[in-house]
Amino acid sequence: MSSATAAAELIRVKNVRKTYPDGNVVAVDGVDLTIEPGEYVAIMGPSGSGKSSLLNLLGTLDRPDSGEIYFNGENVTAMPDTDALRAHKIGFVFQSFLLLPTLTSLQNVQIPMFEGRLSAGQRERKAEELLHAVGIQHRAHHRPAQLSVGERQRVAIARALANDPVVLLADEPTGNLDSRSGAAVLDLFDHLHRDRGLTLIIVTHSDEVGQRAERLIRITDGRIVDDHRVQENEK
Amino acid sequence: MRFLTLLWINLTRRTSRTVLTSGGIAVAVATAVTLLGIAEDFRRSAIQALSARSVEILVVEDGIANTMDSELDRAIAEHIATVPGVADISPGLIEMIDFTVDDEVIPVLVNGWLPGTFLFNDMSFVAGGPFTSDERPAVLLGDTLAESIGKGVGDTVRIQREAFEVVGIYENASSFESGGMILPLTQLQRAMVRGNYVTGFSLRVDHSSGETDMIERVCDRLNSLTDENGELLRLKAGTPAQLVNAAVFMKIAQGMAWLTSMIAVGVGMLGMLNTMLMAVVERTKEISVLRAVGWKRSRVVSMILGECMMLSVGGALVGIAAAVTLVRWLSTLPLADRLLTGEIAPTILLTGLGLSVVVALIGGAYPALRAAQLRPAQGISHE
Repeated sequence: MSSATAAAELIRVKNVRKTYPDGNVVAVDGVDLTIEPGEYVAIMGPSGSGKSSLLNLLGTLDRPDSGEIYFNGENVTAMPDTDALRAHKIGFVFQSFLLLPTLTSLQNVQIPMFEGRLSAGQRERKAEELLHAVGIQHRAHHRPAQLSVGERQRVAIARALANDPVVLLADEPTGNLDSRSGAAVLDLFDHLHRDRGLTLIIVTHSDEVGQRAERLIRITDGRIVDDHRVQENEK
Repeated sequence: MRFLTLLWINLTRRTSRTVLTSGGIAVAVATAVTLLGIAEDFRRSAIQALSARSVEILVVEDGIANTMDSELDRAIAEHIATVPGVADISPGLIEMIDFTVDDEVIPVLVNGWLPGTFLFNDMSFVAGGPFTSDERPAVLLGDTLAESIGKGVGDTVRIQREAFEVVGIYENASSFESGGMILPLTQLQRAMVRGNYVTGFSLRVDHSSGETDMIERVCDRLNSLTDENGELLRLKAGTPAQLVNAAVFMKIAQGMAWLTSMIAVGVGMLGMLNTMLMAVVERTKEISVLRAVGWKRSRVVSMILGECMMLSVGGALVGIAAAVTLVRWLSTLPLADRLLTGEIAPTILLTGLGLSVVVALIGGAYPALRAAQLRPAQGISHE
């Protein structure tokens, strides 16, 4: 890949295939895809279509059986481990939040920072800033069980931003939220995309989420069946 | 938040399990420190008892497993005295006799010494003084023994049905000495029907030549000493520490202490393994989240081993405190106060701490590696 191409691409997926051994399910079947820096992408499709599997591959949470994935021009499928990439370049938001139940919001947000070079005091200050940025600083010393689901997702988003990632991957981020909390989370994503220039890749069932994105990718049976820019009249 | 804070939070999420596991380690370490401490106390007391009398070399019969079974003709002293470098010599007989205190039979170490030998030089008396005749049935009591049996100078003590007058009460830092008694050599030989035999000889060395290895040289000469017919006298000479360390009873005591300690530590290790394995299985999803947000495998290993270390070292500190208290209490019992000082050597306390680190590293290794091998996606879909 030329360096000029690499500079214009944040993520490039080349003919990636992923099969799960239990039941020989082909989750991702020869996908080619390019994500540019600053894009807001929604990946939609029916249940079992392979969209979460594709997101896991994009985020290097899983490895493809074949094909290649490049991140900033680097072939991550050839890397022995991608921990550092996930720690410093990629933020994750999960449908079920996956916060550590015994830690407070402030402590949960600091978890990814252990892979950085910040002191304990710096970690705490940065976590406070992030909680403030997602509007939940008043719940800093509460544990997940003491928070509403919307608040938990905000803490999860703050955690995803802990190491200033270049891309945020979200898997059904509003799937467990009521409509009001879901809208608030989507507003937060809009803000992060617009004001911070963060690249967003969101897997969703929700048409509302899809309409907020700039680009919509539809996937069925592990294959991309549609990939287009969202027009104003679609929103 | 510090990394240690995270470990502490992880441990306190299941308080009862943490306390039980740590308690298991505490019991294991307490067992190890107590047994090893007593064995070491025993060894140090034996060496101290001899060193306190300025004895530089001990000579016993060669080829015997138990030093107290040594039997040498007292006349051999004349041969030993001819060895260059020997400055002073004192024959001694050591016996263990049963003594009745408050209807309880206890073993007491009895030394038979010749009056006026150098062994008495550094002796400190709290009452009376040393016996001056080998013919008179007199006895010196260690202060601990005297206190235990309620005897003082002028009282009578019965040994092997014979009456001995207490002529002095001595004090000695060694529990062997302070809990024992000393009789004139001839009196003890007669009472124990040992003829003219002694257990061995205590020697002091002439250092006037300035040679640094004088003790070693004299020992070599004694080990090859022959009688007037050229027959090897079969003597075994060594420093008090060498002979005590080589004594079979000492090796057995230390071996038993180590064996029992290792069994206790092994049980503690299994407890640690079980606890941490359960913790890793329960926290599969959480550990996967940590991996997902970029934690390296080594950091996951550090977290699990760190938790093991806190559990184990915490338990060890409690166990060490318990062992110190237990040994002090044991040393106050009538059966033990003549054999134990009640102090545990710092090296043994460090050994206890070291064992807890080994327990943490070995008991936590498999759970830590298993946790580190979790793939992020695998755990996140765990539920």
